[in-house]
Amino acid sequence: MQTPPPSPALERALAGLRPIRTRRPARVLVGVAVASLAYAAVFVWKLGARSDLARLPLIPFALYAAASLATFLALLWCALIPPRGQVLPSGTTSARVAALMLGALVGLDLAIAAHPLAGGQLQAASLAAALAAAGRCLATSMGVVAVPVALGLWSLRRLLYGNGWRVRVALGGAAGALGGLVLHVHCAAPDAAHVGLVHGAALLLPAALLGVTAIGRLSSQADQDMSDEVARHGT
Amino acid sequence: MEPEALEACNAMGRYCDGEAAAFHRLYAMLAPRVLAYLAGLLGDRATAEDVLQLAFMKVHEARGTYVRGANPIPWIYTIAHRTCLDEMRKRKRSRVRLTKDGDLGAAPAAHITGAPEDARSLEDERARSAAAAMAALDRLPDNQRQALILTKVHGRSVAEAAMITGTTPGAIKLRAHRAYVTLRALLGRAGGAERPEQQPQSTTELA
Repeated sequence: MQTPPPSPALERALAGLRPIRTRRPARVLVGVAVASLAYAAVFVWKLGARSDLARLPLIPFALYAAASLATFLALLWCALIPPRGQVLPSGTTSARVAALMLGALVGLDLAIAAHPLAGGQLQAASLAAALAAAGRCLATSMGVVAVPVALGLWSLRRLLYGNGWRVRVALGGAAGALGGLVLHVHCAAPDAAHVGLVHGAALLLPAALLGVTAIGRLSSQADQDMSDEVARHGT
Repeated sequence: MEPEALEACNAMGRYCDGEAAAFHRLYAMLAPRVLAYLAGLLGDRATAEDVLQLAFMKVHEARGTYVRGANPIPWIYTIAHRTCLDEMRKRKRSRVRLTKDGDLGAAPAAHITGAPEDARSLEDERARSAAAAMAALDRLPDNQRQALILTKVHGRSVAEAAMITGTTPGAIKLRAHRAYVTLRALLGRAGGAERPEQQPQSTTELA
């Protein structure tokens, strides 16, 4: 089979070819992780730690913090580090690890919220106060996740192809875990419903939002597949 | 790593170091296969050649995202696949192509290898079987055809095919299986009417 030579445009581009710095995923991971953690630390320092920090039982508090940190690092790893010998991060691994670790973290969040030692109890706050507290916590979380999401998407530019939505979900999950960690350190709300629902939602929201950005493309792909089916078999 | 992957990896590394000859080596290695893949998806060699050039231009622009030591072949296939999907969407938006006289121009058919359909080659029975299989392959849904071509014609692993098409390995296996079932039904129907003893054993014969 005759293959055409490279096009004139490609040849022109090759005429000015210079050495280029290639991607080093491990360095990217360290850079994004360190910058995100530093930003989260500044965020906590600005907002202040929760008032009941000294009275909290150490084990549930440390357990949740460690789980959040582990989820952040694991999902960031999945989103930024390709499998050995590959260029692109694995969408399948990213989606599986994100589902597993975010599910476990939300479960831990609910368990800690309901645990009496963690100060969890259902309080009969007014709806307006509950919504205001929820809004504050979600806004805080979104403020924290902005940096890891922006840095992650920037470092993944030109790398998000068909598997992009799964990698985006993992990146959003990592950012959500970091946001959850900041809420855990900052928010002293003793309401179990607030901790369980709002903090749980704050964990999942970034992953859902980043995943939704691909929905338009997925639905157009589904429309295309459907029209192909109709065109091929419907006549 | 397989020898061809190793060679592609070395060529890609030298290309990133600024060696234009290494790009030409990589192009010579991969362009025929990528062109065959694109021609199989698009069914139109001229468009496949255009998409091939676009895909290699995108590879050139994205070479900074390459990870040294990695196998560039699945990555280049992925870029070509996405470029091809974009082209297919564009074609969907402009479905009808008319000549100056207002007639529908017949699109030249392409063989799965990317070679133009040659009427003379249809004289022998093997070529007729291949043509029947090609017609059946063309009736498959896009996602099933992609799975079948990648795994059975181009020899990509299920994991690589999943990465190229942006889906899961399980979905690739399912699509390839469904493609087999559909092909068997289509070829059985055609073969039963014309030549029941000439059904191809596998799609690799098509290449």
